[in-house]
Amino acid sequence: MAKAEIRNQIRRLRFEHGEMTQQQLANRAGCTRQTIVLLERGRYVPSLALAFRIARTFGATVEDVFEWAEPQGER
Amino acid sequence: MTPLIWAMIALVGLILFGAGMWSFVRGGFRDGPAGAEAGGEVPMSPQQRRAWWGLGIGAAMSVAILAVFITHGPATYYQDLGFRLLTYGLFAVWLIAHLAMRRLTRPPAGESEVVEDERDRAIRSRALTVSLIAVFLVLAAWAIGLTEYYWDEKAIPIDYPYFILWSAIVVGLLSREVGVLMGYAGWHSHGES
Repeated sequence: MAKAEIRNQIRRLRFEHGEMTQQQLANRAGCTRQTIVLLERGRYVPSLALAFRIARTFGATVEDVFEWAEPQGER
Repeated sequence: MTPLIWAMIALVGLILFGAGMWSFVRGGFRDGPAGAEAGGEVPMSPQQRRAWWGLGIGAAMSVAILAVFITHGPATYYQDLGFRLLTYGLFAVWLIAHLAMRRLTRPPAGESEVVEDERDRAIRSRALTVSLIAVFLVLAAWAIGLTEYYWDEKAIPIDYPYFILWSAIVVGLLSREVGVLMGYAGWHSHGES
C-alpha cells in the first residue's frame, strides 16, 4: 500500500495570523519549535490531539489546516 | 605508569566536559536566530541536546573506566581495593556529571517555552527499547562467550558477574542516548505510531 501523505497549511496560516513565529505557535499549541519546523517541512505527522490544538490556535478546523493527500493508485 | 594513563584520560574527559558545559551555559538554553524560519537547520529540542551531552559524558567516562580495567588487568579486581574503589568512584563521577548536565540544561525559571511534546515522549519511549535490546545483546555475548571459553573447566570464575553488571550498565546508559539521537535523526515521523 502506498504511503499516505498529510499536507498542511501551517506556514501560510502563521503569516496570515500576524506573522506568528514558530516559537509562538509552538508555545500556544503546546509543542516544541522543532516539531513545528518538521511539520512545516512535511517530515512529521502530528497526533490528532496536536492537530486539533494547532487548528484551534488559528481559530480554524483541522481540515482547514491539514489535508489528506490520497496516495496514487489507492481507491 | 598505568595510573597515569587512566588519570590522563579521565582528566581529558573532564576538561572537555567542563569546556563544553561552560560554552553551553554561556550560549544559553535557547537557539540563536531562528534559522529554521528561513529554511535553515532544524533547531535541537532540549531532550536532543541532553542526549548529545549524555553521550559525550558517557563516552568519556566509559573510556576512563575501560582504561582503568585495561591498565590494572581484570584479574586483580578482587585483590586490589584501590582498583575497586577507583571503579566505583568513576561511576559516581559519571552520575554526578550527568545530574549536573541535566540541571544546567534545564530551561530558566518562568520560561514559557515547551520543553517536550508528544514527539519527544515517543522518541524517549523507543530509546528505552533500543537500550533494552542493547543490554540483552551484551548479556547474550557474555553468556555465550564465557560458556564457550570455560566449557572444559565446567565453571566460570567468580570475577565475572561484576564485570557483566558494569558492562550492562555502561551499554544501557550509552545506548539510551544513541536511541534518542536515532529518533531525532528521522527515525520517528508519526505522532500516532
